[in-house]
Amino acid sequence: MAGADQKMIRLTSSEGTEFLVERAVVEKSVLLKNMLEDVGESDLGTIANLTLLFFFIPAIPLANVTGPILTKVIEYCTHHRDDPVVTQEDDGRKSSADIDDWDKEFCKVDQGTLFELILAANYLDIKPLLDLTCKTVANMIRGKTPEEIRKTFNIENDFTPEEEAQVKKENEWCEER
Amino acid sequence: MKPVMTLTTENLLNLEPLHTPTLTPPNSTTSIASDLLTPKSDTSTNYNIPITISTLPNELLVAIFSFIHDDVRGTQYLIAASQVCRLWHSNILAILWSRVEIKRQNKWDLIRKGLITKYGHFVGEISFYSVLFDAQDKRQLIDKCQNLKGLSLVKCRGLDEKFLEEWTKVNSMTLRTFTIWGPGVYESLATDVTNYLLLPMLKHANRLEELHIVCSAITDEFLSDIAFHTTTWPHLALLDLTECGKITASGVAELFTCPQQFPKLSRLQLQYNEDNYLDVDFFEFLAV
Repeated sequence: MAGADQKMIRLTSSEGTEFLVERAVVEKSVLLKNMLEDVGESDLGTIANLTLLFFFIPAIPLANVTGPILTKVIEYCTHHRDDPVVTQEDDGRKSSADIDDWDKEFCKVDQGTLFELILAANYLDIKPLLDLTCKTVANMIRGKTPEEIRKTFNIENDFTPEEEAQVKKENEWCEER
Repeated sequence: MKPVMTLTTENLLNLEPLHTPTLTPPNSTTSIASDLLTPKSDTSTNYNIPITISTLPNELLVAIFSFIHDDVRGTQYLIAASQVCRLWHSNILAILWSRVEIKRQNKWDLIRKGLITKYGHFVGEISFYSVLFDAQDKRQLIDKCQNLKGLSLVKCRGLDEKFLEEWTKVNSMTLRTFTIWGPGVYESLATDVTNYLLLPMLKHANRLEELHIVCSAITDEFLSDIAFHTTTWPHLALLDLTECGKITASGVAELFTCPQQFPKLSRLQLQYNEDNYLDVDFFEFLAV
């Protein structure tokens, strides 16, 4: 059992809800990983007694992330805890067809949650989660007409008819092979 | 103490105390930066405003669009998306114009009348295939495309040394890849690629990482010029001299006599030429 001496971190969501998470999971977030590195290894202790834990483990407040979103983020990071770290070079800008089943299921949430996940992944600097959520939104745009896209995301068409015509005309060069 | 939310993820199940913990003095565990410890008041965000795609910051919207751009049919999808609303349009324009590939004269004809003036500043990479440039085209490109990382001129017509020099000069800080093809066997109308055409522009191209000169009439004199006179090449990693039939082994050897000019050079592409036989052993000797 690896759990007994796992280093734990407390995360506090914007409403003040506290989450107790393994350090290895927390470190999927580059922001938090850097924070923890700045604090230093020894200060975090290796306390395994749950009742004493909270007096010794400092909490990291995340004012920009709500409890439900943090729950999802932790779920993602826990599932992907052993994934290799992706470097800038091979950051896998493959097409969005390569989303695996677990990730696909994970992204089956309402739009509000999906966009909040994007914001959280961006803030916490979790590149694979940011890519996954952005790809999911990209998939919702792909292959749709402008009107279908507006309906999907509830976007208002703020073009005047003249502007709309001009946009179409100006795009013609892209379609030319 | 605030309520603790217990997660049902597997990692928490391992948390039951299995042995007596070794306690460290409290003061050593609380030396964490105080700003991390103090929970901020949670009035900073307003949870009542629903998050929609329109509330995402632009950079994230662009990230989403970039994933679409990478598709085979990405351009087509982005064109549809650019017609959704003004905000999307302005973001997508920058993406659509970031990489411009002009494979036929009639595509250039669509762009040269106005669009390149309007959106040229978005262009990061541009390639032309057998396009004819007139004086006005050249002026527009110099004036508007000043943010180029990649420039490729394949079998184009109407090129001249003044145009190339001026255009490279305004892009000298950003230009990383430059490709030029001469006429070769086909496209006999294309501008000849000579020492005279290239040497003035290369003075301003010292940030290049890749230089491709293909089907050219450049000579050994050119190689000795870039090795000794033009500039230094601190970033140049690839020098491609495919189908440059006038180059001889001694010209190539000149490149190696001055290795400090090319500290990063790791690839040199040459082509077998019956008239100017290059001895591979000779290069192995040079490369040491």
